[in-house]
Amino acid sequence: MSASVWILTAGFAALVVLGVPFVFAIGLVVVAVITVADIPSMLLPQTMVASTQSFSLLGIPFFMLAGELMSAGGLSRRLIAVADVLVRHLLGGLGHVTIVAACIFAAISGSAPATTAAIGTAMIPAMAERGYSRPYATSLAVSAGVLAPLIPPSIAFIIWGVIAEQSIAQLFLAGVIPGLIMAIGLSAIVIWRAHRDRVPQLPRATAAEVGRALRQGVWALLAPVIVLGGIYGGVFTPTEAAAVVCFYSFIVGVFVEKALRFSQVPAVILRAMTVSAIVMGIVAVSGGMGVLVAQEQFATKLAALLSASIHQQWVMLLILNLGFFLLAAVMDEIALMLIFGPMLIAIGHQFGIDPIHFGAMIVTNVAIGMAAPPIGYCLFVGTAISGQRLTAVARAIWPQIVMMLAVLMLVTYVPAFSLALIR
Amino acid sequence: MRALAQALRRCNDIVTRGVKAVIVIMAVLMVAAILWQVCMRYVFNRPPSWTEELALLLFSWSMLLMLAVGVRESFHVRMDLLVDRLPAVGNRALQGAIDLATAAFGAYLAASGVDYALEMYGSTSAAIGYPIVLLYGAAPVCGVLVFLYGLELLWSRHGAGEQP
Repeated sequence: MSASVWILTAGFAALVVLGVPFVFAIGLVVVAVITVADIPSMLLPQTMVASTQSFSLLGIPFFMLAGELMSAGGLSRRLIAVADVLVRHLLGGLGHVTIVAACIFAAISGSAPATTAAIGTAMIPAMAERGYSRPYATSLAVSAGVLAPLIPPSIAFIIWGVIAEQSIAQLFLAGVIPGLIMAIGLSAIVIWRAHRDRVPQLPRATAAEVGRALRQGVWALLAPVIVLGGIYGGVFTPTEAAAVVCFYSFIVGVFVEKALRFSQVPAVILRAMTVSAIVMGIVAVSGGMGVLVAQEQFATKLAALLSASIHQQWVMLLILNLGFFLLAAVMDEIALMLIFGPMLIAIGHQFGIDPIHFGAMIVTNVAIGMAAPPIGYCLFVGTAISGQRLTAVARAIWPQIVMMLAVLMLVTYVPAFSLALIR
Repeated sequence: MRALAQALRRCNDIVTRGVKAVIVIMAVLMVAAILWQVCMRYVFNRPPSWTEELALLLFSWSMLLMLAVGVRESFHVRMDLLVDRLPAVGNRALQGAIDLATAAFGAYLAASGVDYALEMYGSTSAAIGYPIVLLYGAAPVCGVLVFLYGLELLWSRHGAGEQP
């Protein structure tokens, strides 16, 4: 192996383990390979800027901002109230409320950590008050949050669409059924736990309560209609839909709900730009790493090596999924998609797998990675909200992870789950 | 040395406030440009050609600026399982090494970014026709900020170590 290959693999792993933030670990690896392989240093600034010049990726800060505006403007609270009157009387009521509210929020925001934050902030204390253990309540908010990458719109699908050059609107559709199955799976776990722990059931909401929640929630419920109706009605591109829903949430938050003050807006924008920069920083530096990996023909060699020794499609898919899951447990999922994307696409192509189906499989895996310990964005957000230790939440979340892996297998081996909604 | 570190912190305080204000303005303009694009397409049936280019220019700038601010505010995601398990001395040494590496990355990005911006000098963008240096200038500016913030972190940790 050449020095560059050692830097790209072992060097990168060492930096990550030593605690260098992913964005700079990737950046430093790029600098090291440029120096060793005598490549013009301009590669770094050129790829960093070029990687951010994508109209599809512009949707990321917009969807983040929409989510932040929804929370600051009191719209998230309205969504939770609607979910509350609809499902709280079921066995494990507040658990279902968390899941339903997360599904609706996911249809606006598309970011798993943002969804965990928006729903978890209200629901974790509410569940704890009703006798749910705090680690379990946190694990529910975390696992409900990761429905967001599957339910359209989705930042993970936007990034995969850019890497794989596939239609983002079609990829969004491919996540709907897997996301809903996962939501049902989560509800089943909630029922099982409530039955085991003898959680008392809440009274069913009266018709008046339902009516009031729906009336007050109508503005919030319109937001997903604008996003999804706009994209699939052919009115907007996903990026435009995101900008429109930012504007909508702003107007409703300020003038209808009157919960958002002008003076709060800069802070709200900065929060959205912060979480966007966490993602986009990695996208920016990964551009250079992508070029270097391609130059070493690393991906093609690895793909050739894998496909030379594995001939059955099902074995290959199993190995890809397992490899991705294990790496995602300790690595940043976005970086993983960007770095291994070209290799995965080459293999998928070789085995004749539909690219949209393949994308759904990858993003399902990404979603699980965000909740799976020890490294998962949603896990960090959830523990930060509840103040629980990561280990305690990790112990509580494993049934959800097992269920999600089962859904991943369904998505992997039954293409209809991802392709049924696409003509 | 200590006075210099304090001066750097004060300087970075001011710079950060300015950078954040710029990021907020850029975000508002980005959303506004895309809204204007939608509006022009449907209301006047004349989609403008400049909105997308302007939004993308602001997008690259705002994300690279925020990336740099992330050094100071330590919001970039990392694996801290090992760092947290080290004894205090090792932890500080490793943190210092990470700060130093971050600053070095910033310096490299600044230098190579200036080279690249100069190389592209004279070209203009496709739709608006703005000088492309305006876009590629984002990389060296990001580099300078990363360098300054990395240095500040290094110094502040070092200073904290000196106190009894």
